[in-house]
Formats: sequence, C-alpha cells, structure tokens
Amino acid sequence: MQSARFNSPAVTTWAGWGLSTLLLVIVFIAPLLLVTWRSLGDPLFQNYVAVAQSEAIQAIMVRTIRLGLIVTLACAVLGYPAAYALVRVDPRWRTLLLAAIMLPFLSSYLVRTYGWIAILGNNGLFAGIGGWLGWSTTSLTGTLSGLVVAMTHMLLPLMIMPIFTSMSAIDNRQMLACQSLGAGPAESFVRVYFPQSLPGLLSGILLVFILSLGFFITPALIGGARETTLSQVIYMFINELFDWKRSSSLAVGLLLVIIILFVVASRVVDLGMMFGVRRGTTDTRRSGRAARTGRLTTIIARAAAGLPLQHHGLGLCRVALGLSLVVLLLPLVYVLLVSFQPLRLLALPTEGLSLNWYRTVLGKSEWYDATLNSIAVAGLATLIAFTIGLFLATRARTASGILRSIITTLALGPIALPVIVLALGIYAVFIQLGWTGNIFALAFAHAIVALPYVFTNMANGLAGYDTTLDQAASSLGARPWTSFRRIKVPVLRTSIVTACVLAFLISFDELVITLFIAGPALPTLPVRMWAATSQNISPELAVVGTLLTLLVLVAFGAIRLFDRRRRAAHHAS
Amino acid sequence: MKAKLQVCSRRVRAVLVGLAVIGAATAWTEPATAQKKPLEGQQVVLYTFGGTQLETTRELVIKPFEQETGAKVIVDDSCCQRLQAALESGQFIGDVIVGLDRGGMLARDAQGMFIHDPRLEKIARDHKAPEPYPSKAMLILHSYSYVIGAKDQSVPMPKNWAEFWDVAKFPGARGLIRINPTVQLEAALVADGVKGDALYPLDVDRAFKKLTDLRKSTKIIINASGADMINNLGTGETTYAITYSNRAFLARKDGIKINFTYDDGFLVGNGGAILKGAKNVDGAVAFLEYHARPDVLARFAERTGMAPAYPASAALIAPEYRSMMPTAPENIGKQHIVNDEYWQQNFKVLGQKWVEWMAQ
Repeated sequence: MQSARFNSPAVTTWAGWGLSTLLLVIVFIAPLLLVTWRSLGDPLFQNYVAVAQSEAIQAIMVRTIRLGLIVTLACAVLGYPAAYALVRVDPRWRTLLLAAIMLPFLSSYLVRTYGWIAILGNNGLFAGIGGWLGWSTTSLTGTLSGLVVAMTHMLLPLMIMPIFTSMSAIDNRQMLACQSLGAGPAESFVRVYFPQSLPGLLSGILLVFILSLGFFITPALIGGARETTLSQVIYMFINELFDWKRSSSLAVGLLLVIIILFVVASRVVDLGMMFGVRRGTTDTRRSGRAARTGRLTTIIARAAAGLPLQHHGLGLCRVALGLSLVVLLLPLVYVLLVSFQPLRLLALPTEGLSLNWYRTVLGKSEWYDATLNSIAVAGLATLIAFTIGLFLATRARTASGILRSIITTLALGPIALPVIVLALGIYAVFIQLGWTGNIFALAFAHAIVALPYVFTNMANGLAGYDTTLDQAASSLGARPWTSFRRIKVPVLRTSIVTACVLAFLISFDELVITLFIAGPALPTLPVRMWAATSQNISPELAVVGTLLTLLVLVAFGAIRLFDRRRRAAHHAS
Repeated sequence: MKAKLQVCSRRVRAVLVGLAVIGAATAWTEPATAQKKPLEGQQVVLYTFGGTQLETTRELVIKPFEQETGAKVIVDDSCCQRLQAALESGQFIGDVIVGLDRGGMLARDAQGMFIHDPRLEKIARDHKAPEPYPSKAMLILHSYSYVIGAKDQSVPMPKNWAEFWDVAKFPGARGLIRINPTVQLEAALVADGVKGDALYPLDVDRAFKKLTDLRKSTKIIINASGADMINNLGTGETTYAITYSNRAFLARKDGIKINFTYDDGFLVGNGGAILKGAKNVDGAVAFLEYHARPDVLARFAERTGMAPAYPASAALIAPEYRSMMPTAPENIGKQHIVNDEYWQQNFKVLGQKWVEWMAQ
C-alpha cells in the first residue's frame, strides 16, 4: 500500500514541489526579500543612488566582474582539456585522479590560501624558478596574476566535474565514425564532440563565474589593494561600519548585475542546452539562433581542419590535466610541510621539523567533536540538497521556457548572493522560527548552498539522458520508483556521485552561515578552525588539513582494496 | 656551587610540600565554605574571540573566577559576526563581551548594543584608571599599540613614521591593515610632519595623499588580519609593516624573529562590556571586576603582551617583561594616543573613503 502510494507519480511530484518550495522559501526567498526590503531605505532607493553615484564602487564592481571573467576563462581553458584527458584515461586510474581533483576541498580554504601566499611569495616556488631562469621576478602576492592562480585553484574542480560528466556520456565511436567519413580530428571534434560536451562546459562556466564574484577571503589575503572585490566591501560595511542598508543594496546590486549578465548571455548562447533541451522548430527566434550557431560551427570547423598539432590533441589534453593537478595539489604539499613547522608561523619549516602541532591537535577533544558535527551536518545537507536538486533539475528539463528560467534562477541564486548577506538573511528568518543552534536547521541552511552544485551537475547529467528509457521501462510495467532505481541511477551514476560528493564537501567547508546559525552548541570544523585563527594563525590548521586528507586517502585505499578483493572473489567463483 | 643549589632546591621542596598541605587542607574544608560563594549556581555567557588570547583567559580568568564565585562561565568564541543582527532582533547572545578595542566599543555603544552600569565606572576609578577610560558603558582592561614592525634584525629599524615612509633609506614592501583606516591616517600625517598633539581633527585629504605617495613608491601588501600581518613579516613577504604590539610580542615569544619599536606608536585601549539583553548583569559585572584585578591583568600581560590599562597593575609585571610593555615608563612617552571619540564620530565617512582609496 505504502509503496503503491510512493509509486504514484502525482504524489511524488507534489511532495517534490512541496519540499523544494519549503527549502527555497525559508532559506533563500524570505532571506532575499528581507535583505531587499532593508536595502530600500527611506527615502526609497537612496542607498542605490548612493551606490550608483560612487565612482569607487563602480570601479570595484567592474574589477570584480573582470576578475570573475579572467578566472572563469582560466578554469575553462585548463579544465576542458583536463576533463577530456580524464575521460580517456584508463578507468583504473580515473577514480584516483578524480579523487585527487576533489582532495583540496578537505583542507580548509584558509590554509590553502596561505599555501598560495607562500608559493607565490618572495621565497616561493615561482620566484625560485624565475630566479633560476635568470628573470628578475618578484613576489606574485598582492598582484592580479597571483590572485588568478589561487582562485583558479579554488574553482577548477567545479569546472572539471560537470564537463567530465558530460563527456562521459558521449559515445567515442562517434569520433571514429566521423573520421571514417573523412573529417580530421579537429573537424570531428568541433562538429560532433564539442556540441555534446557543451552542457557540461556551460554548467561549469556558470558555477565558476558566479562563485568567483562572491569570493572575498582569497582576494583579501592574496590580492593587492586594487583587487578589492565587491564582497569585501559588503563585508566591511557590515562588520566595521554596521551599515546593513548599504551592504544590502550592494548585494542586491550584484545580484541584479548577475541576472543582467545572464540575460545577455542567454541571447548569445542557448542556456537551455545546459538541460539538453532539443530546440523546437516552431520557435523561429530559436531556430534562427540555431542556424546562426550552425553556420558558426561550420566556419570554426573549416578553420580547425587546418590546425597543426591536431593529431596530438590527446597529448595536449594530458598536459592540461597534469597542469591542473599541479595547480590543485601544490598547496596540499605545502600544507603537509607546514604541519611540521616548529614555530607558530604558516611557512615552510626552515629551522627543523617538529611534531608539536600534531600533539596539540590530537590532544584537543574539540577537534574530534567538530569533525563529527561536520560529518553529520554535511550528510544531512547532502541528502536534502540531492533530493531537491534532482527534482528541480528533472522539472527544469521538461518545463516550459519561463518556468525553466524561474527554476534555474532559484536553484542557482543562492551562490549569486554574497554568502555573508545570505547568512544575515537566513539568520533573521531562523530567529523568527526559533531555529538557531539546531542541527537540522543548520543542515537545511547548508542544503541551500549545496543546491546549486547538485542542480547543475544533475541538470547536466540528465541532458545526456534519454527519456525514452523511462517510457520503455514503464511500457514494460516498471513503476516510477523501480525505473528510477534500476535505470536512472545506474545511467546517471557519475552525475549522482559528483553531485553528492560536491554537496558534501561544500557543506563540510561552509563557514559563514554556520557562524550565524550554529551557535556555541554546534561547532563544526571550519568554525573551530576559524576561532583558532581569528587571533593568531598557527600550523594547527595545516595539521587538521593534513589529517583529513590522510583519512580520506586511507578510506579511499581501503575501498579500492575491498573492491579488488571482491572482484577477485567474483572471478574465482 | 652544586651544594648551594642542592640546599636551595631542598628549601624549595619544603615550601612546595608546605603549600601542598595547605592546599589540601583548604580543599578539605571547601564544602563548608561553599555556600558562601556569591554566584553559586549561576551562569555567565562570555562572547569573545578564539585563539591564544582565549586560552590565556580560560586559564587566568575563567577558571579562578569560577572557583572563587561558584559561577559557571559558558564561552562562545565565535565573536562577532552575528552580534548586531542578534541584538537588533532581541536575541540573547551573551552576558558579557570581551576583546574589543575601545573605538569599536564606542561605535557599538552608539548603536545601543551595551547595558550601562555605574559599577563599571567605579571599578575603573577604584583602580585609578587614566581618563578617559572610566565609563558606565565599558571597562577598559588592557592597552596595546600600533607600532612599526620589521621582518627581522637584519634590516635597519625605522625610528618613526617619516622613516617608515622613506623607501630610499628603508627599501622593501610595506604592510598596511585592510580592515579600517584607524591609525594609518594618523601615521601618514605624522610622517608628513604634523605634530602628534595637533593631529585631531585629522587632515584627511593630506593623509590620503601621503598614503598614495607610499603606494607609488613601493609595493604595498594590505594585511587582512593581525595573524596575516605577523605571518607576512615572519616570512619576509613584507619588510616593514604597521603591526599590533601584542602580536609582535607574542610572535617574539614564539621564536619568530621579527623586530618592532614603540617609537611613534599609537596606543589604544581594549576591554569588555555588558551586552544588551544580558540575562545575568551581576554575573557580567563580577566577571569584568575579576578580570580587571591588578594581579590578573599583570599575569595576562606577561602571557599576551596586552598591557594592563592602569599603572598599579603594570607595576606587578615580572621584570623581564615589564620593559616590553607599551605602557612601560620608558615606552609610553614615545607613543601617541588614538582619539577614539574622533574615530567614533567620523568612522562612517572615513571607512568609506578608505575603501575608495584602496580601490584606486
């Protein structure tokens, strides 16, 4: 009886809408309205007028967007070929490489930022290589290029993962077919491969661009004065000037700019592609755009056909993958080395090694408690975000244009708001509901931050999913739940795993909202790290980062070993 | 020599045994006197920052305070992100807040975040705290200084702000502080030749112009936090930086070889207050009263470099640390005093100008 009811599509759909609405209203729409309301001021819009008239704010806004574009470009140029190399690599190595790409998320971004300061700095690797080559290089900290490298490190996994998911779904025999029909590698790539991987690329670009606009800790630490981002200004207005209203108006302004950029972008590229939507021929505007895109593709394909090095494509992609891994893992090597630093200094140990900080960390029960709290919250948040993200992505795919835009905006919106503003909004709403200091409330709030990652990855996975499979299953008598479990889950395995792992890690690393919602009763790992460093930074953070990384590597190794044994046993029987 | 040492240590041992006996005896009789503890069964919620300062506070203030009064202190070390939002919506966040600068407290007091209590002023007056510290709104516990720091002994030490600005004589990257322009405008004016007693009201345009000069003449690193400023000095990323004296003191204690001078420093006060919505105002006052005791502040200073806010306590600091304090007689005359009232009145405008200057 129970399962019959669960199997009824109408009930599942209504439950999905209900849950999604609940989450979005409480943790996103209501906080956003509150922030907007506060930003209006009296007389109306005075804060916006002040913001619009400030030349400094305009300059900062332009620079923030420019920084976002540069970082997004860097991530795409590095991430796209890296994802291709990943798809083509031996499956035995692939899982290991994917894990390596996600590994940086486990050490707090604060430590990794300090890692970059050291790597880019005076005595760092870059200056060293430059000096060895005889260049008069100086420190890259406090420069735009240094900041771009560090931010690329932070955001690259979010570019690689959706592209990888998209590419995994492409049948490589298509390329062979192309070439047997006479197209060179470059031409078949442009005409056949690239269009199919485009949903992943678009998802990655969206995520990375929006997130880069909200960055403030990394630019504050690595960027010079000129790299002051809008989020830093918002943070300063709130924390130092107690100016809620102006900071709210800046946040809403940033959101408006992002929406405008979206609208402009959607006139150039069909964002519906992200969901694998087939263009309807009845829509003349769309078919016009499709024709234009087609003509463009032809031009590029013809140009590409004459490209040198096109037969070495895979090799070049492997170079990009190697470079990506260096960018991603370099700070972790640094974190490992710093954990043996005898002094209270986040720098490479030049005067001997010490296990002091390991003793300090292992002797404090608060680190264990915090780790357990973090795992519990992240687990719950992943569950909520995945359920809702999958539902919304499924709906977005079949919905009409307007509804799809609404769903997309709402599902991606949470990362478009600077997190400090979202945190203030959520906190104000939770106070009304009496929800502070409660693990479920915290998980609910984390779910909204994780939702965009789940949504983009699932949307992009579903883009390559053939819905006729569902129809076939249902015609064979499978109920929705059965067809979901037996068909959708296996086919979408990569997307699901990516979405869940990302959601988990995002929640695991979340600091700002947690500071507001958790209270003293529920400290998570980032909150502990933050409290430990708010006065003076110590290698304790590096130790915690190293231990977490080791823990995951051990768990990963154990799973591989177990898998191999099981497979061996399977073969033996 | 050896024999003498032996005797000495035997005597020490005897004293220790004696102390232990007395201690045990006191512990034995404790149940009988327990009822006399003034705050037995009460709870005081402390909202503050984490880090070594809190570790020291736990050891030197919280524990003995709990033993003496019978109160239980609950610590929330996530200050101060949600403070304003919580107080505005009437949410309880703590009874007492500790660790804020006087300027920051004046600004928060102007927002109505603190409960005024005449007992706070009385405590300050009883300890003969200097003007303008005694106040109903807050209790100033320590003072520290914004000083010139250098990466180590190998580079010459600028003796004043004019030299800090002199890139030809003192080459290298300079570290400034991102979070607000306090002291940096004053330093710029002093570097430009303004006398210390003629600083206020600040000639803001002149100060920003002088800062722009520095920026044009060398590389500037804008430190995001105090931790950052020490780390960048310690790793040599900045050769010279505007530094908090207590952080520099701690770094030196931790074996990091940075250098600093009190010459031309700027003194500021730091302390605590009773939070609006406090559930235990008496407990909060008792906690602050305990924290402000001369011996407590002196021990605190030896550990953290935060000097006591009044002379009677500074006199109790162990000799090897006394001269390292910003308030030591040989240091205090070299420094200026930040006019917190001026900053509180002008912070909004100046904070905004600072953002604009950085973005230029």
